[in-house]
Amino acid sequence: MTTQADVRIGDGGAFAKRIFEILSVIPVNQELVTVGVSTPVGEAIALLDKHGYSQLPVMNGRKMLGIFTYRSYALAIVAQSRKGYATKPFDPLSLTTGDCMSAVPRFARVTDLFTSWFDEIDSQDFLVVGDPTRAQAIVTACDVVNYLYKIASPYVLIADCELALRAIISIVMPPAVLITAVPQCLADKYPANKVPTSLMDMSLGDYVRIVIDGRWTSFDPIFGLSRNNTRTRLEKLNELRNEVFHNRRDVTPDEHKDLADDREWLRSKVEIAGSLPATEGAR
Amino acid sequence: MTAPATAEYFANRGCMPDQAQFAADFFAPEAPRIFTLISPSGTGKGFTAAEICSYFVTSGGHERVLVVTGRRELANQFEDLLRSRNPELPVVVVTRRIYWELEADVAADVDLWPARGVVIIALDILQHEDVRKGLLLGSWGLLVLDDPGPHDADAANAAFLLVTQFSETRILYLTRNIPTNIDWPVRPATAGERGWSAMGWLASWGFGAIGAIAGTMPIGISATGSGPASAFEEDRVVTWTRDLDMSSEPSHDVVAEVGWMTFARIPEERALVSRLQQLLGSMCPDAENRQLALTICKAAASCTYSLEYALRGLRIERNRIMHGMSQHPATDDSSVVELAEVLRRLIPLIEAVPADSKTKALIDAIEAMPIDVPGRARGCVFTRFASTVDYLKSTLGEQFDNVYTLSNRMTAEKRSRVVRDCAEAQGILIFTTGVSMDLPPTGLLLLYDLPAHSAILDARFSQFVQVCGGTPPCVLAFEDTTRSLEIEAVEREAFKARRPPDDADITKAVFPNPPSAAGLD
Repeated sequence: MTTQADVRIGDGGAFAKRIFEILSVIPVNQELVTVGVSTPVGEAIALLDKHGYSQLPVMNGRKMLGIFTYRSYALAIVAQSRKGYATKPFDPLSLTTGDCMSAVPRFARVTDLFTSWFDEIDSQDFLVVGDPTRAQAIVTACDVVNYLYKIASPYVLIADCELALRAIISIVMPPAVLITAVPQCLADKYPANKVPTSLMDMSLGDYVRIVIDGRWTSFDPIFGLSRNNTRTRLEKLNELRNEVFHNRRDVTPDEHKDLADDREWLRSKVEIAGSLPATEGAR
Repeated sequence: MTAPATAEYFANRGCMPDQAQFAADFFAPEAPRIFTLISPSGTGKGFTAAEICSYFVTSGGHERVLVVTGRRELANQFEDLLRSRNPELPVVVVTRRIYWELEADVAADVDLWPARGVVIIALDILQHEDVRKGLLLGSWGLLVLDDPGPHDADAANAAFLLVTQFSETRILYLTRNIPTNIDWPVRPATAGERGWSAMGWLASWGFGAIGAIAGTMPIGISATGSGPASAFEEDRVVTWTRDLDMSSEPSHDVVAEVGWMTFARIPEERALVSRLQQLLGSMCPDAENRQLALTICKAAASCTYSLEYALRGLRIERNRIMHGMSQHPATDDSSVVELAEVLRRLIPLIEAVPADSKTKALIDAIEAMPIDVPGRARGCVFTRFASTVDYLKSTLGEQFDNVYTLSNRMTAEKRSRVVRDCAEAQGILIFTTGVSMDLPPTGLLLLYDLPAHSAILDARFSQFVQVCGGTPPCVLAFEDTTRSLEIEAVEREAFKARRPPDDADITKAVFPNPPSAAGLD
């Protein structure tokens, strides 16, 4: 039998990058926790608390009957209290998950676009992924926010690094110095009449070249004397910037950590540059 | 195929003699169900396993192989390795998302795996119950367990469960070592505990009588393990140990002769490593900080950039711990915090180092090598650290044209292209790991860092001899005449004697004056 997986493997295992699919949003470490229809609510609440979840699918074997949530529990207590008020006192812990689950929601497929499910997420705070015989995962509004943050943050961190380097150069090299000095270190990169003279017109790669060029010792009090180390770090940052901005690949968790650390490092260098006497300018 | 014919087949595929023999033994008609392959990192376990997987699916009359690796990066590396050895072999690396997608394509409780091919899965994915249940829905001809080294107990238990459940499946267990300092049989690790090896104890718990078929048993294991998995009592574990047994003949055809290039650390460099040793010298060694401190000392021996990079990682982990965000909260957190806080004092000293004496010696060695053979790299530079690869790429790039790097992050296709381009351009190649990597022909192999074990050098050297058409390259390593870093001297002496460094010597080099030795007891 040829499965769908075979077809993909036949394609060389290259899964297209599908950034808007629900599949991308599900937290990869999620373990789906379910309860039976007769689970006491105290037990269900303890499970929610233990796992830090807000919803539990209520199952009867393979079949999903509904969802138990803090909200569905609250609504059930109110309803039961009203019903039983006239006759006898009502004990909220006497309920089971079957007594207070909300209706079976619509099921999203892993390949659906999450953007098309925003209304559903907005109205009930979550989305169930799978089908009636197999709940695969739950996606919450917070999962969507986390995912969007994850894919956006490398761009923001790189932009911050670029701005910090620009700030350092602008402190160390007044405009007059920049106009005369920069063509020397960017001469082999641009045609003679196209060399940028304003920091605003330069790329991150240009900033890196200026800082590590070695002709301006005024960068030494900021970055130290280990020019090889500074060059390695800034070149690596610039390479990663090109990979990210040209969508060549995803940023690895280690690279993300490095980026965040580079940002902090460059911010601290901006502070050092700002504290230098003005006469430390270009020599 | 007869056993000699099978061995010849694997030799023709590029396996070293021991690798080919191991693979032939594995496919022998009366071969035991379970094989263990013990050898140090970088001696070709993965390469041999990839060849076995490929043969198993394409010629062995079987359909499916499951490979369990440690970290996820290793799963991708194994995929690349398989693809480079056999581009026709269907291979998939299972991530959680791919699992969900495969699951969604079929009805509940139906075998969701590809009908034929190799499925690779990392331990962190295997820990999920739904994935483990899914694996049990399929039938697997061969299970390859690649020992991930120290890992947590949950991961170990996940792998252990798999072995007990696959009672008919052939098993190939790859490991660097089975430790001698534990009682056999050992107990399984408990939740939250960090073991020395997720699967090391599998070898004793899961597998029954241990017997050696190939090679000797140099590591002193003669115990029989009888754990809860009685299904394995009739199985045997085969060890492939000759790489570890340095008293016997080396496993490869050629042994590298190493020439030593001397350099002298400048005063600022000496001040830095001296301060590092002084700071560590005041600390009390324990299991956790010993490993961290050792890594940091080795990074310092490599280059100041790698030292800085290691300290950066330590500081990030320290901050995570302090903010309650550590990924592996454990009792060793205090060691990380203490080390990070003590060693942060090194940063100003790193920034004050104006030159790099070791890299200057490296540049001198490369410049002394004439460029006169077309299609041959000018030199290949080995280092242990990925951060040193970055550093050398940047620093050598200032001096030479055509500096290339190889890393495990690259796809097999990209690695092949880099090797080809480097040879054509007579460039300089910087690389770190993996005996399975393609390498270009060259006349000069430079050991910027010493490999962890001389057997690793022999394995890599054999590869160079092969690609150089039988002409061995000149091998140069670096020696600091000021002897300012103890760990460097200990490793160098062990390397010269072709033996692993002694544990006690290493500890003494990293923590020369622990407080307990000063009479605190």
